[in-house]
Amino acid sequence: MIPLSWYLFLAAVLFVTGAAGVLLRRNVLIVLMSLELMLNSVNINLLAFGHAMQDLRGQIIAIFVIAITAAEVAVALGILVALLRRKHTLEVDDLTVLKG
Amino acid sequence: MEREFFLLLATVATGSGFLVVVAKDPIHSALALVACFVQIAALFILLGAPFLAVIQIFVYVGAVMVLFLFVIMMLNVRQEALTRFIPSGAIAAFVVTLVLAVEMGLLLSWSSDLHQLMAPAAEPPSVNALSLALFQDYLLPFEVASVILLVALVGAVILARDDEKADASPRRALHPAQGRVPGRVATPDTMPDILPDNGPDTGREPDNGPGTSGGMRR
Repeated sequence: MIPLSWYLFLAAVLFVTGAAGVLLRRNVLIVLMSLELMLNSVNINLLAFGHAMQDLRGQIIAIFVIAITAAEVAVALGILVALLRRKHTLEVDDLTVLKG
Repeated sequence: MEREFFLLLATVATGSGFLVVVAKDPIHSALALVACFVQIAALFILLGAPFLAVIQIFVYVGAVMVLFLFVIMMLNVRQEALTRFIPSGAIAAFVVTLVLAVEMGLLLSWSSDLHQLMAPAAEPPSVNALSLALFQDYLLPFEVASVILLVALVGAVILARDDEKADASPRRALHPAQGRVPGRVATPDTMPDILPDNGPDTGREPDNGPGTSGGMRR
């Protein structure tokens, strides 16, 4: 049997890795992939707590997280394709169209 | 035995997750992320959620990452900038990441309740129970999620659609020529050979203007 904290530590490490990727990388694609990593670490947390407390709601919320992630990736990549067609760059420093 | 499996999977997941962030090529990042997702799916089986493991493989590895690889390869975005990381404000971002890591580690190691062993499941929750809970108690969020997926589908199509109307008609005119000569690949070099073949029934001149090259780009 594994203590619950092992899973939580693993999820924390993956979350911090993903946060570092979101904050530090220049490529928008890799920023999106790091976002996926963060969402997956949250899923690990949900399933670990659901397993520890013998509750199905962890799995159900994880299913919703996965569904919303699929929608988010589709929209994000659509925006990326449209952006690439107009600006021909993938670096986050150059994508400041919304800046006031 | 479970501990060894956990340690193996967690090590590989952490390593490949680290590789996602530091890899230079986006293709390498995507493949490392696929490896990480497979490890996480195996961890889901350890956590007594085999259905979620299958969903993880199907949705993340099968759909999301293939979409990423499609975008990377079709748009030819592999040339990465010389500096991988943001030069301006990198120190602030690094400090924020470090604070986040220290905070999470401290909070996790201080909380004493989390360190007791997880009780073995009396009976592991079956897919049957999961579906009953999903479709009885959580039916409304389920339907809302389906609406969100539909909206995202339509939105992604509208966002990624090319709204240049100028080269729409030559692109449509090229398709019958490609279908009628199946053995040939319609490259710009072979286009003057293909188009006169169906000249009598369409009466169209082979146009080599900018509209043709615009249509051939896709």
